[in-house]
Amino acid sequence: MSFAHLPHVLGLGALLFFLSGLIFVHLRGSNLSSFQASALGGLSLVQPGYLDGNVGISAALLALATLAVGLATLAFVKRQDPRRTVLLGGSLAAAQIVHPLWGTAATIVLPFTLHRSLGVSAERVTGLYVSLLFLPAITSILLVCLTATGDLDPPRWPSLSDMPGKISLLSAASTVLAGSVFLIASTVSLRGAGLAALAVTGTLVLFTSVGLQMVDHSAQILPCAAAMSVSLLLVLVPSSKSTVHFRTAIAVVTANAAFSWALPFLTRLGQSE
Amino acid sequence: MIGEDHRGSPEATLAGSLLTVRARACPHSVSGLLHHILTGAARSLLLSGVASGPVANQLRAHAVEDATYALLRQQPEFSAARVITGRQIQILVLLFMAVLAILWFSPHIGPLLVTGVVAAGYLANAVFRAWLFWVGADQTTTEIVGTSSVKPLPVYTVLVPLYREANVLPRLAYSLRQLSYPLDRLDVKLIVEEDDCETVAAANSAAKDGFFEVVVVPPGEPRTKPRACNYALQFARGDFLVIFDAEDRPEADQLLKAVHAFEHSTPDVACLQARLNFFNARECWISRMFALDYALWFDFLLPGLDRLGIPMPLGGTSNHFRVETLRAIHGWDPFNVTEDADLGIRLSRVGKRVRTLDSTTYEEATNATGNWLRQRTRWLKGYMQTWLVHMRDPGQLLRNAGPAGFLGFQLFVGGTVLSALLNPILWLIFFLSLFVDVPYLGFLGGTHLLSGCGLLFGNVLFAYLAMLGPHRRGWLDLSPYALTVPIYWLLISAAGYRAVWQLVRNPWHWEKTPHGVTRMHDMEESA
Repeated sequence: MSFAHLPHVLGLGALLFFLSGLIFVHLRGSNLSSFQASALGGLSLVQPGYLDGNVGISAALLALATLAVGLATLAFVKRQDPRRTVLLGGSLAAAQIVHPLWGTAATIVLPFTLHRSLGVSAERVTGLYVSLLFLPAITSILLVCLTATGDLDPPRWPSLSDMPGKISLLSAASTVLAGSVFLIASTVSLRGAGLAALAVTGTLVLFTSVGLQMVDHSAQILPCAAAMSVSLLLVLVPSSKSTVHFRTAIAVVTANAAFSWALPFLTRLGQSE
Repeated sequence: MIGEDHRGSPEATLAGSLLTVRARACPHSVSGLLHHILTGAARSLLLSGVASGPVANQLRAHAVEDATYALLRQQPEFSAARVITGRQIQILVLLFMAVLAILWFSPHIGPLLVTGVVAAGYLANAVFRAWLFWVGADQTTTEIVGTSSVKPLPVYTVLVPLYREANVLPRLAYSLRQLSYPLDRLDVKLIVEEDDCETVAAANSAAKDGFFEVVVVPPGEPRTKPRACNYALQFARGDFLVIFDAEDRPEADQLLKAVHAFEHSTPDVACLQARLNFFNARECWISRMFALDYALWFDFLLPGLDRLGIPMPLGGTSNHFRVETLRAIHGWDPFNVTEDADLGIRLSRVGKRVRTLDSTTYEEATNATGNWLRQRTRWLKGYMQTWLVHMRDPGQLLRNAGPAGFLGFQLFVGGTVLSALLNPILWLIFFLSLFVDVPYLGFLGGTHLLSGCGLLFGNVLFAYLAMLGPHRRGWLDLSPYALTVPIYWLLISAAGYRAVWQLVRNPWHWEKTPHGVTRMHDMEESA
């Protein structure tokens, strides 16, 4: 490693430190011991994306954004106070900057899912939408303006015309999946709504990233796997009141880590076909 | 209430004699003494303005003079009777000259610098409010919640200043009778101006059953609400005191909550500010915007100031005081048209605390843009007066309020005025730099970018905060209207420039906001 790589390594180190801190605090708050929280959190960070020189920071940022959106969603599901509204709106806005396509998808899916499951009355629903979508919408407009003026070149925001048939198929599948989750979310409990929303965002991360990987071969799959890993933690340990079966959680996270390391090979296989 | 037939009665003469002795004993400090010496008929006679004879008239004149000039006499540095000092004028002129010099001698960098400072000032205010919002939005409130169970409850004075508001009296009487407080522990005073015959008659009629006392304020200048309140304060019998406006509808348990909060507070807590909002919030666009404004201000920003210990400018009504402290600092400043805001700052400067109270008073939002503009003009003019008064000696303010309090005062009181004045300037610079090609003036990319960023982030932040304002009350249906905040802000700016003009031309003029004009009379109707 040369000195030229030092800022990159330091940046990545700082991001991972922050990410691991957030994960640890979340897991400790879920009645796990320090050892259990460290083990589970540490395992969720064993991802190939962080070691890749090209996408290491992207992977850490995407994982951090996913964790932020997830935690903010869970908090908002528990109580819809102004601070939590700001946190959810802000995390969705940040998600758009980190990954415009996933961020946009999450911004569309999450508030709708929450509204259906929180049972917001008709006259208040516009207010809920406006309050939640304001920051992400402003961020989108800003990103579009900056992209249009050439001041910004978001690498993960390809034009639709570049997308081949496979991507259209994946997008359609995502939509169908999201639609089914809406239906489920409208009938399940609040906690279920949070999980459903997380599942939707996680799946969208996977689909969009795999799709983009096939389009521009820019190793999107590795950041996606890192993000999926932290999403999984939120699904396994969604709140402080949930009963966590530590061994099951370790098994699932380990399986996911193994899958993540295998993903690049699977993708290459898919491309060679 | 003592009627006209008591004029010149033996009772009045007796009261007059008693008052003469006291007035001679202490001719220049009538304030604070009257409530101790006056009882029964004597009090009523003087209050109603019907006690006759030279002594009674002299005493009334003393009381009026005290109400008008006590603060000016005792603490002239805190009185807005003098609008601006010579030193402040010098500083303002120097500042203006410096800006002109920068623009003249450095045509390329100058506009950029000036725009940068303007945009930074605008943004600083927005960011400070965002921070206050965040702090005020904390669910683990520090407010003392609960209602008093102490028996017997302390006597509570309720002051209701009225001017040309005979039409709202029946509704007011109904609202005040709904207060959950023992009638014999209430001292409700309707304050009317002597020459406002219609309101005097209506007040007398409403007071027939003895629930109200009518305080008739002799005419005089400045004809302001604080002068009338100061006059009535001299007759207050309560340990605590609250001000309500004529159209107010306080929550029934507000006084009990206030007593409880005072009981559980440290003695330095001199005032509690209840939350305000509107019962006719949904009447029209301006009332909706006003409600968003109030929701943000009273539900988040003031609690934020409370938590951070920053001097809090009081809102115009539902301020609960310890009477002793209020008298000690000579009541309200009759020359300040936002006497409430000034009083909050003054209390902080003498080491007292102002806290928020978790109880709401519903007011009537003005439903006409013209009325709204006049009211906002008065508020901004009052904020300018307050800022100028307390910045006469910045060093002393810094020592009194501490660094955080000093900075908070600049951003919250000064910033409110400054944002109103800067907003159109930023728009002007932005559009000029967009459409007018005057390169030698420096309207280049940098200026455009700075003004644009200031406008964008400032307005986005203000709109977002307004959007979140009604969340605590669950009034989410109002949130979408926050998208029109930039238009509302232009109206505020218009009021700001009108306020500057009035501050120069007629600083103590009180533009009365008409009440009782709403078509909605209930919260349910509004919702």
